[in-house]
Amino acid sequence: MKNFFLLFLLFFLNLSDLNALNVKKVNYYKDKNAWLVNDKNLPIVAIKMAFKTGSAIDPEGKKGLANLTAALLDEGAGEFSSIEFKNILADNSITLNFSVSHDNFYIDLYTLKENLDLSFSLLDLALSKPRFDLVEINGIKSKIKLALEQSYKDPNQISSRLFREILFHDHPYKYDTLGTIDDLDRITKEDLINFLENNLRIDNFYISASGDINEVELKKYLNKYFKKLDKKNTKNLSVPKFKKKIISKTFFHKKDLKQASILFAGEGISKNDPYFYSAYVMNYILGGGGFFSRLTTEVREKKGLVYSIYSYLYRYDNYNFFAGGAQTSNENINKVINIIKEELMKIKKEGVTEEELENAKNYLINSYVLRLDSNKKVASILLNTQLDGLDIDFFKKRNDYINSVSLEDIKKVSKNILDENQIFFLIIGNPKNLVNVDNI
Amino acid sequence: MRFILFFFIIFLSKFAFADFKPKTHTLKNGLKIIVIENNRVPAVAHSIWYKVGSADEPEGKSGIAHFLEHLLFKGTDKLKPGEFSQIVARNGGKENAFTSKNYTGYFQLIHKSKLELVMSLEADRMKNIKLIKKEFENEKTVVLEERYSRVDNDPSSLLSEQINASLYMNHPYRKPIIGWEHEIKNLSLEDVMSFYRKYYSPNNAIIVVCGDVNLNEVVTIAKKYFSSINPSKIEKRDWTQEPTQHAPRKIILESKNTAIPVFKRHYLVPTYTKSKKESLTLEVFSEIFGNLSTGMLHEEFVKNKKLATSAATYYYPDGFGDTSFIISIIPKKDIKLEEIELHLDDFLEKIKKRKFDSKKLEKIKKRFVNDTIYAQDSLYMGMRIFGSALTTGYSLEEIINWPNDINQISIEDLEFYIPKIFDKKKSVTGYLIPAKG
Repeated sequence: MKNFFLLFLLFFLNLSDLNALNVKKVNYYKDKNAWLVNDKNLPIVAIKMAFKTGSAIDPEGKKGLANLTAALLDEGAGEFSSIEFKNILADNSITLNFSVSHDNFYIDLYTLKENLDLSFSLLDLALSKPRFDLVEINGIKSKIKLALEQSYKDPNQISSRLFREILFHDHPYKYDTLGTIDDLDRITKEDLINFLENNLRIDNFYISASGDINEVELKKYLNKYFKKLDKKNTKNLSVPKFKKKIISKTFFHKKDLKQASILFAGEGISKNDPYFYSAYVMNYILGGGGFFSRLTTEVREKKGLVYSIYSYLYRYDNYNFFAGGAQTSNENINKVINIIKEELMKIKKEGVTEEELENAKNYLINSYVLRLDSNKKVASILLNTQLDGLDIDFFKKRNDYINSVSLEDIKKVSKNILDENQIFFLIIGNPKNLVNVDNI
Repeated sequence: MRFILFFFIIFLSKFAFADFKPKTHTLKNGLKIIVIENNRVPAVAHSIWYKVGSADEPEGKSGIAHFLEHLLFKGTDKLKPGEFSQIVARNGGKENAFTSKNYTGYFQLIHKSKLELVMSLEADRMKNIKLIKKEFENEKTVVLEERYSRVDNDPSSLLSEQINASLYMNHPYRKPIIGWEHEIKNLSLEDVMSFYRKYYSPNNAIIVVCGDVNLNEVVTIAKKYFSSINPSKIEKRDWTQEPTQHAPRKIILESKNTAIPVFKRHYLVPTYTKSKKESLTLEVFSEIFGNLSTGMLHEEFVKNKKLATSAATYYYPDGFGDTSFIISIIPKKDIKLEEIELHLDDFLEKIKKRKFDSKKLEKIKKRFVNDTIYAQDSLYMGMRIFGSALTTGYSLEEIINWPNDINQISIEDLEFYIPKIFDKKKSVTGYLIPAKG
């Protein structure tokens, strides 16, 4: 009876589902375009925007500037105090968030169609007339400082802080986007104003929208509120290039924990690299798929050593890396690390099987439609595709990219990414039997 | 939960359901089917919900419901361990499962042409799971590692676990969903299998499908795969009830794994099923009083008195018997938790006597109604809202009428019910304190 379910397994490569994603470019000012999917199923609109400017350009001595600016934009603007501003948003069911990553400054707007006018005028107010009252600046600073203190105590946050410090050495990517406790005290109101003036410019601005809004309406709002971001004579700050020098060491941070954490990282790959999708498919098979990746199968399903084990590819504007992690009881650390190393080397030497490749393609192609079921998700995908420097034809080509990956491609790309001389491990925990580790 | 979920945030209790148009049908064997049509993409969120959770576990066997959830992926008469997930994935599906105090749910997000496949798989594992000792023991260590990640390594979860065990003196909600460590270790294969046989049957389950499919299509498939499964005798839940509580309790947890002190106060209050009007009033009140960025508590502690960096409340109306109304405050640096507590007690006395503004109340109610529109902006959300409400005591009609019922809440309701919430004798106060060094 093993073939009971086989009748369902007629694989399908349903490209037509993606064509349903009808992306339009909306030219709203000079050569600037926003990407739009006009979907009228619900009377709501999701808009995601990004300026290519993030915490990585925070000046020396003022780490945390970009994030602090973002965090203060909804703490009062124009005639409204912080409380008043937030009440108007909440009472009109408008979500308006400002946030930063290392590379980007994000604006998220999620609103009812009937409140579009109000939503855009509040966004404009926040960007052009933020109050930056001293009392709010101090309030948010103390909240951020508390979060930074936590990165020296909370096990997961210690791991990710040390991970960044090892991976990025002296590059600005090593800092938390929140900045540092000492630097926050030095940031003044004037710094915040200058940050907005210098960095929020139309030439580094990306916009996407999904929902019940048409091209004419979108253009009207964007032109009205954003053409003033066409600024001249501003300094263009860029993130320094980062030269990779990962050394294959095992770092160890001792902490009295019931369960230890393991992280590892190595060379990554750019989305513009012709082998990007080979790496993407390889990672799915190795540890990206979650449910039955090789790592999960070997470490969790067969040995019961972990609850979670994973790997992923990550992209910064100026640096790409491959990484992964697991949590396990202290006595199992060596076992888990050894299996991870074995599995990485197995793929590097032997590649993957034809069946694995077929299954991975089926999943990666046929599950894409699941990312398009909400306006929020569609707006995110449209924005990220722009930030990756791709054009709207990407949505038509994406499945072909995946489909064309061969067994040979995976072998080739694995040689670079799964290079044992360029992968480090980081352990946080309280094991007894570790040898050859660098204590940090 | 079988795997960590990266792709959604789970906090649904306040969402509702106005414009959803669910259709329903019940098979002869008692299996209930709910379909919420949504045609945005050619996909479905398919789920099956069993009306069994951690509160149903026998004494001394905590963790069974959640452990069993893991084991439903470990093979049946027809499938090898793990094969379920492999089939779903190579057909482009995402899947997971979750366990709560009241229910256990399994879901797949998948192309609509694969609905029949996943329904046939769910029908298969409703009765036919097959476990070998080795798989069972392996999965036990996986569950223990899950407990260490989620609870033992996380001081705020650990504090909540301690508070719950103290807030409920006699009701089974006092047990952690994932189970106590020593009891998980002692579970036997037979314990889990007898729990499975007792509770997994069509008359104790609800299928909820949200997506590009109609009721007829779903019922046709359901009949094909589920109608041959016989119902079993499900005993009425007869949980032990809370006695009168006479004294406030206090839990102080010191931890080296945090730099942030936290103040918590949990009050024992009714669920929706126990007291409907009161529960609806509490939902409205929690939004006015405890919204993270606009609530009265935030205004008082964060903005006016500058004692805290955040202050909010949470109320979970789901379930049977009593539930918690939770106040959570993170003090500013160098403000002691004792100072927070003193000021809170003063503030709550004022709130009990406070007159509420009817304009504000109307605005708050509108927030809830608008939330029902946003809640339709994903297949997963619709599936999750209906599944969890239907397995925690709401009827379909009550779910649909929820926005109207919220709209009926008046100033008088607020003023009548609020003083009843803050009865210190029915409360537990929790301190999380960073340990020195």
